[in-house]
Amino acid sequence: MSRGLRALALALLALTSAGPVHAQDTPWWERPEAREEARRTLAQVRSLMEATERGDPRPAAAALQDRAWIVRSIAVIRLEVLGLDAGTTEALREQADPTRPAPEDDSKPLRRAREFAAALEVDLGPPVEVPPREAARIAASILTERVKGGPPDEDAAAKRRLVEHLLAWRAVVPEKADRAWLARRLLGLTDIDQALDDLKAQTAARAVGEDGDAVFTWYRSNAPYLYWHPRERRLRVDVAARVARQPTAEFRRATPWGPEEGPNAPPRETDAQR
Amino acid sequence: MRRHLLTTAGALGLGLLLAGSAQAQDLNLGGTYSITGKDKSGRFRGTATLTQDADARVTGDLQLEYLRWSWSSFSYAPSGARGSARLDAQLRGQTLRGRRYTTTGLSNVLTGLDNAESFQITYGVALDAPNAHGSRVKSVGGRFDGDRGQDSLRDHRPSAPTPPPPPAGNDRIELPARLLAVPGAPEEGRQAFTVRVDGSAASLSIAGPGRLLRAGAPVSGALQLQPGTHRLELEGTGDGRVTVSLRRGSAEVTRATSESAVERLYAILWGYQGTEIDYLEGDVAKTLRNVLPHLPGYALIEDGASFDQRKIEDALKDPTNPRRVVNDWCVSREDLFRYLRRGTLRGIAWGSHGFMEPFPGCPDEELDLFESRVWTAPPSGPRTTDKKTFVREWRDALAASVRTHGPLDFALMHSCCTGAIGSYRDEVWNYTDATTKSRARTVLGDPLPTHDRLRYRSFDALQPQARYLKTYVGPSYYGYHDVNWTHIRNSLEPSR
Repeated sequence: MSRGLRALALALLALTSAGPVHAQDTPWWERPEAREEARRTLAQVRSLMEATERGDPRPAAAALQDRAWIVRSIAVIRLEVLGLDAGTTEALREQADPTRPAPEDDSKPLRRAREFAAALEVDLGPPVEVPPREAARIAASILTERVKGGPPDEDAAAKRRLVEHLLAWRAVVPEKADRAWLARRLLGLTDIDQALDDLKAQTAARAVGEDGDAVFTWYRSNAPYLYWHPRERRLRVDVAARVARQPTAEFRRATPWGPEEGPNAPPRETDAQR
Repeated sequence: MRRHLLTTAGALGLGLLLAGSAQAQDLNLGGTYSITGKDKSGRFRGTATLTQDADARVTGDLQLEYLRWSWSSFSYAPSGARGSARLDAQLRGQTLRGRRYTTTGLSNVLTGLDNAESFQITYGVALDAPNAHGSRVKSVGGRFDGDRGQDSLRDHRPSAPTPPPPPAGNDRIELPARLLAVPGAPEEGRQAFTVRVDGSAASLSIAGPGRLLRAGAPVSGALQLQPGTHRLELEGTGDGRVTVSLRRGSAEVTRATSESAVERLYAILWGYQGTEIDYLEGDVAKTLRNVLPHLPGYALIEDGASFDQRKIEDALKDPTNPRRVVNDWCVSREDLFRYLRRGTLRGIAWGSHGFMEPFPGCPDEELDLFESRVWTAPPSGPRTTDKKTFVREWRDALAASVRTHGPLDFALMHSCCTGAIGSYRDEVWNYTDATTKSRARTVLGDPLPTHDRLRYRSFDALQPQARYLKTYVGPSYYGYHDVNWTHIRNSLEPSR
């Protein structure tokens, strides 16, 4: 699709979906504190990868109490790679969740992990450089796994909040190509079919373009209408709610889903299998 | 000169002393080698082809790929720069003396050598017990350009010997120079050759690790051939020299030889990626970066983002180098079993989505036995699903390779639940085949048993088949940050 056509499609989309639900404040992911936290999170991921690739577990052990669950999660994964036992890993993995606080100082698994890190004798390899792009992709991988594998009763708003980290990271990754990649990941976790239809794009690559901006704009205007499809393990657009210009949660109170509709419908694609 | 000799002697080491000069008398350095070393442009690796004439004059063509240290992969990786060099030397005993020419940039190396930068060389030849290709040459190498340059040529694959001069008659056997032995699927290494029988009938026989075929059917014993030109087939069956002879009565009228080698295959395979297809390119690059530099002398075969399987199949048929790494970006179930059936795997890295469920069609008493399985992808691309392949199928198919080469160096089963159900325990039945699930409801009751009342079989069952096995409890992560590359690198034994 040409740049002009895409701009027209976006303008039409904005017009057709404009309404009271879009007259909202700056979304959380665009606020300065969210961007700062995004920057810090990705820097931490990068730093932990660099240390642990050299064989040094100590920064990962220290990061198990980080305020960002993604940082705690990468710390657990890397400690496991370096040989932390399965039982401790499992316990720490449960703490590395957006719904859980960081473990307290007296947490037994935390103590065991720190003892492991302190006792591990390795000849550190030479310094390793992990590009910022790699850090963003690793963080997105952890995020994807959590969104798709979270508790079955987790509501769509919580899922959305998780997915929206991708939009926060968008502001701090260095290059257009990285933003485009995050947009592609966003499509993978949301309603790729509807997005392609709305954006009049034949393929995900075309929808994403060189910087992903069209996809991020699409997400922002469709966020209130997203519901969680449990068998596709992705957020989908409630088109009826969008036509009615009501957030899906509100719309479905008056117009409940039918037995074969929305989250009750069979999965439409075969790309969401385990 | 003194310094060269001292260095050479050091490089030769014990192998030279043990080999003894008697073994060197009929030394022929002709053939191909893998080469590593350095020059003023940096470290390099590549291939070297040496030819040796009847007067023991050796010429060599060195094709070099320069390397630079990558902190991200903690290893040397190609820098993108390439070079070439030429050797012109005389072999005396186990010493090669002559000159090394840097030919990079010369449009015509034959006419341009006089202008090329060159260095005097005195390289040593180390001998050892015959390698897999029947060569006693363990290494050829030494320093040049002071201490700045060094060549180390290893993994000698001798040239197919020059056929003996034809006899007075016009009988001919034209064999391919190399044969590929694929024990589990010998037809994959099958090659045609021709025999011309002149005058009167003759009998054809084979010696060494090879098998004769006629019209696809194996030939047992000597094959009687009438005068004329015959098109036959030949397969390698092991490592070593294959000799095909034509006889009339007790007299051998002609013969030809070919070098047979058993394939050594490392497979990096990518199945169904689903919406995580955006990770594929990066995960492929990361895996290659961590494995390939540690497999010197191995040829990379891959389809790339085209997912064109013909590229891989054509390259696998080429017998030039039996040591290869297949990197298949989109593996269907048919592809997977074609690789496994070859019986030549030395290591495998698998990447796809995966889960656990009862084996479809299992007996009722196994409906509570959840088995790890991974998804292949259709030939069109890895975004969608093809088929599920279960532990039992992998284990049975891998047995062929273990019979050929012993346990794999490594098996990386990078899919969710290849080690156990883990954190997916509460959705354990969610991805079970619909027919199986319906049977389970009938046999086990509704609601279905919870995870703690089920039995499990994971890819840990492959443990005896791989010296380093990595499976995943619950999630495996795209981005491959949950892989310990050091363990995989340390497991590699590329020269066995």
